[in-house]
Amino acid sequence: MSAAQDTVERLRREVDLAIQRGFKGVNYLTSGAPEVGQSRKDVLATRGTMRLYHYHPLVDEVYRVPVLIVMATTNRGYILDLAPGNSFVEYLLKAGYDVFMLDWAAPVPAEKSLRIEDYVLDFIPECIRRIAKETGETDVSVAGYCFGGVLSVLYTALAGEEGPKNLVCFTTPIDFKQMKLFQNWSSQKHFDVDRLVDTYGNVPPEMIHTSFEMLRPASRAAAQVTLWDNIWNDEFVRAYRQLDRWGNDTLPLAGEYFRQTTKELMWGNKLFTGELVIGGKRVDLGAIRQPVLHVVAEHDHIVPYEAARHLIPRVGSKDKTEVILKGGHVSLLAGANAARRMWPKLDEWLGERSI
Amino acid sequence: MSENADNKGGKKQERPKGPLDAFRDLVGQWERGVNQIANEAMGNEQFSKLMHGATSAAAGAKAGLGEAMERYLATMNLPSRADITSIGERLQAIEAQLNRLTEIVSTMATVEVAPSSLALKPKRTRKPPARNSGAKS
Repeated sequence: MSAAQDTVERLRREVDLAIQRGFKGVNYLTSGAPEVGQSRKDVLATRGTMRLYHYHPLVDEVYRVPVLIVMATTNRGYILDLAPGNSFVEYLLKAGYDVFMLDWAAPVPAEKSLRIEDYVLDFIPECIRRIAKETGETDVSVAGYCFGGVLSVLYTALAGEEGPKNLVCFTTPIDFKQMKLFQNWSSQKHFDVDRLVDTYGNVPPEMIHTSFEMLRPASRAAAQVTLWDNIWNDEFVRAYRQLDRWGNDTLPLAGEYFRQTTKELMWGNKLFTGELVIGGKRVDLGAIRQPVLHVVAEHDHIVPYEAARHLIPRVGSKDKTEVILKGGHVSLLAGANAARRMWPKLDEWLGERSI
Repeated sequence: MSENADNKGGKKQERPKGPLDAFRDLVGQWERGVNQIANEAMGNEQFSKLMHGATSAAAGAKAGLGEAMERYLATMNLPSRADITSIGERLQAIEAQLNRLTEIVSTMATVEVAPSSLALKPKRTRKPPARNSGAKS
């Protein structure tokens, strides 16, 4: 093909795409929100902000040890169950795991007094009791995402012998001083967290959402351009809308929990320094003796590797592994790259420890 | 919780090459450049001071407005947000109590139905598939 023919052909393709963009663009604007979280599940327990789901097994024979996924308190758990064929939960179910999820509803004003203690010493243990009752198994693997990972670490460190059989963390911060932008924004010198919590009660979701967006202020606009460019591609648009819906679906944070997180972790960095006290007990990462897997993302703009890398060296477990994978804070767990990179890696590690 | 635009959406590899490729590269460069400059700007103390000045002003305005609204509602003999929240708290305490009672009742019921319900559940005897050794990350 000559250069002139090639140019004509490429122009013709671009005109085709432009026409398709017009049609599909109208379709995009008029269609409803994408369905998410479609894996069949029972709601085993609800109490205020706490939701415990049990997903219906998809195989006849499951691993003995059930898995409890602990979702981050800022976002909805359906990021891990976006759509059939694009769902971490579905992948685990097909791989033979009995999957439970501790998800969060927006805390109501009356829950503004919830503290980290409520999450670590009440919600997680209650879920584990419910799972034991449901499955007849006393062992459970706990897998926490982002701040859900922090809660899982705190629970495991404080539970001692009664803790989970295995601990899996995804992008879990330990050294909060390394979350540079969040550190600057929550600077003790300028940020009056008491006034914020005393005024609002629970921290509004818009505030949480804006702080995440501000980490990469140009990315929303760039994503819109990329969407327009790919709007002819149904698969791209479907996945974009699912992720976009989730990204905008931020939860408020319980006021006292936020105040405590700011003062103890962001200002005091006490999980890192070993001075954090929860429910009257000091949190000692060295007390974690269970097998631990920490999966971190190479390009995580929310929890940079410098903030996450201290977990594995500090836990007291002999069986401990850190896996660094390509991807970002969300794409580590959800989407096509996660399906190819992280999900099989987790299955490989967890399967042999779930019998 | 936005990530790089490349991480949103599904596969893009099938898109044919075209004259807009230069524009796409430009968008990518613009995104990276603006994010980098903004992160540098937002990482200094002055930004933190300005940001919290605005947040404090908004919180102050909200508190002032809340007090005025509360006085107005009291005059109109209507419940304030604080009153509704207090009712909510009491309802939640009742709900918690009900949950505890439900749990006790279901525990008693489970003892009776356990054998049949367990029979419907999958066997918990799965073993991991044999894997090639030496495939460490």
